[in-house]
Amino acid sequence: MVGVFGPRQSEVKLGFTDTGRLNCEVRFTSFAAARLNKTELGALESSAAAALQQALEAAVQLDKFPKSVFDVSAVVLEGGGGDTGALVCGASLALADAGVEGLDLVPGCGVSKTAAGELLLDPSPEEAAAEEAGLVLAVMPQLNEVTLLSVRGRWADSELQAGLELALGGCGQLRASMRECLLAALAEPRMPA
Amino acid sequence: MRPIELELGVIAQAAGSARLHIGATDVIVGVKVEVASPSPFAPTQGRLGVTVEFSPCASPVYQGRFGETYGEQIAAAIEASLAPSTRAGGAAAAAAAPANGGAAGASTSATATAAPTPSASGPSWGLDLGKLCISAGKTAWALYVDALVLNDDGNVVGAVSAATLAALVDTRIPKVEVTTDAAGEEEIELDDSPGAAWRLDVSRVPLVVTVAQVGSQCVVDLAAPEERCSSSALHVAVNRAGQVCGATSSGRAGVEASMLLAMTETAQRLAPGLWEQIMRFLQSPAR
Repeated sequence: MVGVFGPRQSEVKLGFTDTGRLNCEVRFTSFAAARLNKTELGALESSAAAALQQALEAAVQLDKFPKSVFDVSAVVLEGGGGDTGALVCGASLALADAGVEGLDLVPGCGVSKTAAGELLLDPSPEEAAAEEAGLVLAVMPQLNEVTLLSVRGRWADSELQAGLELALGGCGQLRASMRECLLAALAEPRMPA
Repeated sequence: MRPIELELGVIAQAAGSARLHIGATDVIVGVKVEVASPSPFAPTQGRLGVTVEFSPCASPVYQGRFGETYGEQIAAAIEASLAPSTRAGGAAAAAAAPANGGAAGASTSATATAAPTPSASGPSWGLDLGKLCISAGKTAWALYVDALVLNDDGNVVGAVSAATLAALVDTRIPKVEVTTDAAGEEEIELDDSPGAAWRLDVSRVPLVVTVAQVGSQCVVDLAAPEERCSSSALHVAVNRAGQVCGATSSGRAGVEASMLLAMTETAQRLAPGLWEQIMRFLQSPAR
């Protein structure tokens, strides 16, 4: 679940900037990630927030919002594999729904490579646990620009290329459904705020 | 690349340390070893912790929270390059736990390797944390890598990575004997003599190389003013064989997919040579 707030005025102590800022925050519910203690959860949350910010910053036209901050708050209700990809998709949709001018929607997804060398798109937690290597990708499909890439494990050249292509294909599919979802939301009459 | 200056053993109290200059960039890395209890998810493995701190005199931007989060990001990149899945995901570790449990009790001395487990069957790259196990499920060495960036003149990630490699080569871990007394209780004996200490096997530790995009070119080893011109960067961990062991992107702009592959290729070409050079220096008798 993702909410977007803003634009609001930037804090004075951060000084003047002629571009806007994106302030991302990710929380996991205590039952979302099983068997993690507090500090591990904290590390997970901050790394997820950093990834989210990285993925979205390139897509939002921050130079159109000088001196302002957008707060993107995300809560992972249940972690069932591919959390980062889902976070990026959700946050991108929320930004678009809030009417923030962006360059493109940003779908994100993961690929994991099994020990046998098979590539799996959007791995489940069991698959991710057994993986030999994996990657997470967020992309702006219309511009064909990658905004976030994080690779774990050892890859041979051709495998990495195949993995990237698979993830790009996955992101293309996601973008189509994200677009549909946004259009459907626009068609619905809104409750006045 | 700019010439690299490397010093070893700069901190007397640390188990291993190194200081690295590249241009005006100045990084100091200390490795500390401690006897600790292993993580419940991986009872036959040692622990690894990496922290990166910025001296506020390095650059005014490192004051306050930015320095902290940036340091955390670099630490995560370095830690991921040193050992698979320590930070990658708690879920992966949790799922691997039952499998590891079956291997508990297999190793009794510090030098015995842990029994192979399906998830980490003697990792194909990085440090072998199984060797850091003293007594399965009870005690293991914890390795703390602390990096301090004293001055930032670009290529901080690469500098921290190279300095970490040097510090790990410099690290000596005391030999430990585990004896079982009459009551069946395990006792740990520490042999503190320098001759008995052993060193880590770093032959599979990858180096992290930062490749930045300036215009439509891939560039490595940027100085601080040059870094301002780059729109995005990719930190690629590459081992001595030139294989990619991990990558993270940074920067405020997107990168085209074909560019991304060109960037990883650049890193793959550069890293093995750099690795050999550093190793040759570290193993030279003149040191």
